[in-house]
Amino acid sequence: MESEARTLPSAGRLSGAARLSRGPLFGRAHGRFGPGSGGPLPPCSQENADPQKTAFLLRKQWALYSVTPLYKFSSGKLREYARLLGAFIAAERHKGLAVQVGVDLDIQVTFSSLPDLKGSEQDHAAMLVQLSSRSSVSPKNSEEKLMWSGWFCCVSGDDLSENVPEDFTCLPLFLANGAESYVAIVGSWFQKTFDCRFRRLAISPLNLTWMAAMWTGCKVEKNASATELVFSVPCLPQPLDISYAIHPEDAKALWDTVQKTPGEITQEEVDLFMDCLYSHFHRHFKIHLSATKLVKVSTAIASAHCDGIIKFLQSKYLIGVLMLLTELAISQIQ
Amino acid sequence: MDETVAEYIRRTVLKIPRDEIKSMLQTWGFLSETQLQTLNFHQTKDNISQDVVQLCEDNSADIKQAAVLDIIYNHIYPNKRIWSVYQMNKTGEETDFFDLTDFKKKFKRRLQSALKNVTINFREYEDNAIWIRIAWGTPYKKPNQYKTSYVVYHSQTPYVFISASVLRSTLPLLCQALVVASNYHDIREMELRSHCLNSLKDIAFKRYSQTFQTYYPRPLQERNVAPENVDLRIIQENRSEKERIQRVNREVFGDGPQPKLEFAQYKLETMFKSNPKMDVLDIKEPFRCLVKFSSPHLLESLKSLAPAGLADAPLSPLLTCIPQKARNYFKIRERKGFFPGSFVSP
Amino acid sequence: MSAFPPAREQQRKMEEGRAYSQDGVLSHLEMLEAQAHELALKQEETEQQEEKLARLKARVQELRLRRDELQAKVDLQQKRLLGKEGVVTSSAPDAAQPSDRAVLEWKMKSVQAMLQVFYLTGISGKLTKHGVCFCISTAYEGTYLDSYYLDLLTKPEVRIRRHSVPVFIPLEQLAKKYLQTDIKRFLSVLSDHLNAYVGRRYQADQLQERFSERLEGALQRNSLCNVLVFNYNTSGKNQTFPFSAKLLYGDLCRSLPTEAVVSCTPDAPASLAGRTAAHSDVFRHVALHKAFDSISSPEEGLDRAP
Repeated sequence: MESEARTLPSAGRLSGAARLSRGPLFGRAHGRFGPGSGGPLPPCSQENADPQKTAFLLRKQWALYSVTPLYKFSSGKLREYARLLGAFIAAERHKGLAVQVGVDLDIQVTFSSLPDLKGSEQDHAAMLVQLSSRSSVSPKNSEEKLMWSGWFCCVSGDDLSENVPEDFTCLPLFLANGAESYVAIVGSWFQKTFDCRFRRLAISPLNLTWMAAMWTGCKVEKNASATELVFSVPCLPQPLDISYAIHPEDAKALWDTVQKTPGEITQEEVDLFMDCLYSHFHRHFKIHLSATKLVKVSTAIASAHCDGIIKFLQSKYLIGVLMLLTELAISQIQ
Repeated sequence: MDETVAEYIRRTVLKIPRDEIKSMLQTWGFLSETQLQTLNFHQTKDNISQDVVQLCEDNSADIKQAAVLDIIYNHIYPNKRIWSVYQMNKTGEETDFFDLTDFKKKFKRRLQSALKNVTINFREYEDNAIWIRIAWGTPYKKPNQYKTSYVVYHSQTPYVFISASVLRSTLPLLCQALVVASNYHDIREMELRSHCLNSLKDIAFKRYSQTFQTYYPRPLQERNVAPENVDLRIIQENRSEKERIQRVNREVFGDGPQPKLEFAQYKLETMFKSNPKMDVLDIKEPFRCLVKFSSPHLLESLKSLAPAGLADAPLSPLLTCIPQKARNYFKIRERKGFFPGSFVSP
Repeated sequence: MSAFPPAREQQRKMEEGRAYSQDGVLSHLEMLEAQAHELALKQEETEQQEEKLARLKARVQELRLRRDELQAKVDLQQKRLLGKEGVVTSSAPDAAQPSDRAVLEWKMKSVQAMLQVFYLTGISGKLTKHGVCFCISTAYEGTYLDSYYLDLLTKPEVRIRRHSVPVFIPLEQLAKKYLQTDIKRFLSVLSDHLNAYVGRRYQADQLQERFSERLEGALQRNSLCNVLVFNYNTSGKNQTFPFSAKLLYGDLCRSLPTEAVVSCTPDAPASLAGRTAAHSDVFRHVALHKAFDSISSPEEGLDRAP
């Protein structure tokens, strides 16, 4: 079988789905980790990232967006950007556009760099934007409260960053936690300032099956949470959701018997893994899960919802998951 | 009037939808018609509740009366709680004359002998149902009126519908009191739960629509919607398969509406058998999974699966046995020996 | 115009008379007499015929009514016994071995015979894929009440597959006693239980519906309706309810109480207190709502007397 490492199973290429494959992102064969396109090995693998610095990203729900390259963005001007964005939010609030902003709240904007979150040399350092509130009545003694955070990142996004003109910065993946109205404000400032475009990043069921298979295959400590697949059954008079949770050891044992190509994962293996689970389910319930829609995958590594929501659960695999999401974001932009 | 009673009445009134407050207060019957007429039901609910409390103050309400209002609310909105069905067992065969007064007396005595601080209220309804509300305390603490248990019991039946208090430790005592009061021997949980109390009753009392073959099934009404240029044999085959699915589905689910359950859960510990077409080694250990089905109306959803082409007809007995077995929580293990495709649930 | 024909007839007859007069008046009179007699006879005959016609018409009317009644009964029965045809036409379950087949046929025959037996007892059945499905229809005093179903498996032994019998009917006990050994007995005892239960419930409902003004609040009853407790008076005009009754139905196969305890409030007049024994007797022998009919009338007289 021919295999083309690290190719996205995007809809456009589905006809050749059987040939799609990618290197295992994590868990085994670390030597092969990273892009298969011949670039240098990344300076930092996930083990090198300081778990302390990224701990705050775990166990939170992040809404995913793809962002086109930023024009004339400079990482030296973060302080200035923070001031400009703060002023922009204040102005919007005056116009009465910013809904959920309380009148007596003073919004503090901070920009910071997250240099650990990258996969290759070419990747631009991730950037974090935080909005926190402080009561304007007694600004001295009240504590700042984090209201919203969003971050831009690019992990092994060489496909994109190698192909953009000089003045552009590639940070194709944007993740936000907090009220959606802030995404709108922050997004519109970025669009205005850097001539970029935000789009919600949905995850297709096919990509969810990849996540299910890859994350199931990862080694985790004992008492890990189950591999849970949530299906939604369409077109019934009454909606029906099916949650199918498999004991992590048993799920991994099944994956290990399915996964035969050393050093990479193929579409065929992912399909076979899912088919095995579907047939086991069918044997008991006589329901064809293949005819339903996979909407959510949760494992000990992370959980992902088709609407484009992700939750990271293991700092060890943070980079790996981000790499996959960066791929999805890039394919949406392209 | 006790501060806590006033607050409890206020909060109970706040729970009631505005346009039902008046009728619920009438059912309660604690405030006189003249008092009710002084109430302005067009103001904010907060104000209504304050006014009601004021009137209750005038009538010096106590917790017993406040509890009755709570029962009335819960009887009208049983779906706000989650109910679990328990079955009681008897050793003897004698059918006794069930005496309500005696039942209440025994139930109260059993609880009060174990706990001094406990509020117990009974209310009977026309369908021979007795509603019991219990607020639990400790030897040193007054009963917590916000963490109540509710029991619905139909006399002379072995089934009890319990909406347990969040204070889980009170459950054994409650079960004991029920067994003693109704002259049974023991009690066990049936693994049947739902928000819809009436559907649980229909299932336990076998009142849900079952089809019994005492008449000829009506011939199916088929509409001819197939386009003309399709092979007639295909239409015929398609139609007869559709008819088969309809028939099988009717046999299994019946014609009438299904009882309302919101979920079913299966803990599977069965062997993983791969399809021979799939090149996967059999795993020798049981494959452990937890499957949960959830829907606003689970059985109706399941009923529509096969006609929608999403499942085989008939659907798996694991799913269709829910009303008959009167349970929606299962643990499934492989049956040793004879049938390779069958499972057992303990 | 209408007056003319008889007048003309008379004239004609008189002319005839004039013609006869030539032969003598007497003979003419004789003839007239004979004519009159003949006329009277004819008249009588007509009257008799008319009477007979009316009688026959009445009989026809009566017979028509009877026919309608019978037709209605037949319809009702057919509705309940639709299974009968099914028994004949249902194909035998696909028996794999010929030896099983004989057994099955024998079983079928015996079941068919049984269905015939229960034809008119309110029990009907139909062969199903797995066994037999029985329907027990209940009635009280000629009023059809609920029907209950019982789906039986016949292989490998008789077993209840599904049913719609109320949970408080001791079905399990009856099954344990009779199902394997005597299915006829099982069905008839179960039918007795069900009929007695719906009968008790019907009486209680009737009492509640028809005599609510004589009852203090609702009847206190239980699921089986084998204990009924209520306070009542004998004339609806009173606001007091001096009597209280507790009816115990010790025999679950009967719809009359085995025990009726009636008491009277201590402050009630002695005339009332004296009636409790009579009330208790009526309750034990007459359907509840009818008992109320009978105990109320003399009491009303008593109330009016002073």
